[in-house]
Amino acid sequence: MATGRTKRKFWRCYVDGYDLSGFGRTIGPLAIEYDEADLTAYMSDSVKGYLRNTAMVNVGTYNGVFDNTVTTGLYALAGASGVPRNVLVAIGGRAAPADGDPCFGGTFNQVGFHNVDDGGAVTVNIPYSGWAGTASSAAYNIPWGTLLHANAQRLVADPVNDQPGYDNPLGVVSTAKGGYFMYEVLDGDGGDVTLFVEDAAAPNVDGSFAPLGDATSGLILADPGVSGIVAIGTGATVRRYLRWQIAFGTSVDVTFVSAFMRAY
Amino acid sequence: MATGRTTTKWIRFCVDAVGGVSAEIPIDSISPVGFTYDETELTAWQDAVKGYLTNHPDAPIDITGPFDTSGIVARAASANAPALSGSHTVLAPKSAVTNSLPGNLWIGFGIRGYWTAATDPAFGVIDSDDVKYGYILTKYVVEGEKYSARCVLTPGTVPGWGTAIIP
Repeated sequence: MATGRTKRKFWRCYVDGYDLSGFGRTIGPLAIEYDEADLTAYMSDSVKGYLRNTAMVNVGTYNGVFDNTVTTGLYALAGASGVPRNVLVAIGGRAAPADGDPCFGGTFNQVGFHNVDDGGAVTVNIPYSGWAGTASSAAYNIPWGTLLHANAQRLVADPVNDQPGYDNPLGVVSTAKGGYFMYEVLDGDGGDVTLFVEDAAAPNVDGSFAPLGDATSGLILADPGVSGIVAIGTGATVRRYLRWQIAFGTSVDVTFVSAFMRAY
Repeated sequence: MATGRTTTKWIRFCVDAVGGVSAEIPIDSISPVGFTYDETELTAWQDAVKGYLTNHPDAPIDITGPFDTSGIVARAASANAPALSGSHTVLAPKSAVTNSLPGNLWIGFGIRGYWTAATDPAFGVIDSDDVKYGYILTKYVVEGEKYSARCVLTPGTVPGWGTAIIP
């Protein structure tokens, strides 16, 4: 991971447990925008004033190269519209995304799959309409977070993460506004596995970490197409450092991406 | 100190990060800075030309700039080169639904040199109480290599022109 500025070629996009980066050209805008409620008291205020109302969060439109390969093509993976999708966009710092890089994610309604001409090339636009209303969004307070585990394979031979974690970008001791955990399983042997998040106060060493509340996938299959989003509650304390963690069940081989969105 | 005309390369933009640290972030465009008044037309048929009165002013700030994940550093002092924090590091936490507190926002116009207190102009709110009064972020959007953001005033806040910087 590197900090600073970057460019679009280092973005990656994961949808419902599939890596769509191979077809991907662009996705976005990645947005959180609030309605502005004009609360100016015209008789007493000298300047107009506003408060935030409800936020609109959206991942925008994915644009990729059309591919109808059976099972693994873009049409096979994302051809169905009108359904909610777990979308995670990882933003690499002048290189492919690595642990600790920023990411944007949530559950968004896919509202189309449109083949479009782009100078003779057949491409696809997949628009998303915003946060899916299939469940309450009350506990999902910020779409931005930290990529805890970039796209990589983990084997039972190296079963746990004993590395230091990633600091809260603001460097504060802890936050107490919750957040949510996202995971996208991209490949595996079909056994079961548990993915979860650990947090720690200083010092940022292996012995400081402990599982973070409800930020766990529970037992899931190590299969492509498995994904999830788990909120931990708006009042939950999240300590300063975060890292990914894994507990193998019957699986011995899993490839996944995971992230945590810390609320402030 | 200089007086006279200047260019955008000498403009500085600071906002409070979550927690109150005054952070300067990179920008590459900014909306018109200052007050824009509503106009109420009060023309009568018998008037020779249209007539207006000004009503309440507004002072929203829209910015764009490079997406940047650098850490937060203290802003530079007067007459010094800017010390930039990462735009994403500052703005993403401010965009959280759970963080609706206003803060300071300051735009300094250096006159053909690094912005200098007491002489060079600045606009914004530098005495936010971090509870009720100040600027609040209502938009944070990332597209490709750039971000865009919007800040508006909370009710009762009065920004202004001056020559001071955020304390």
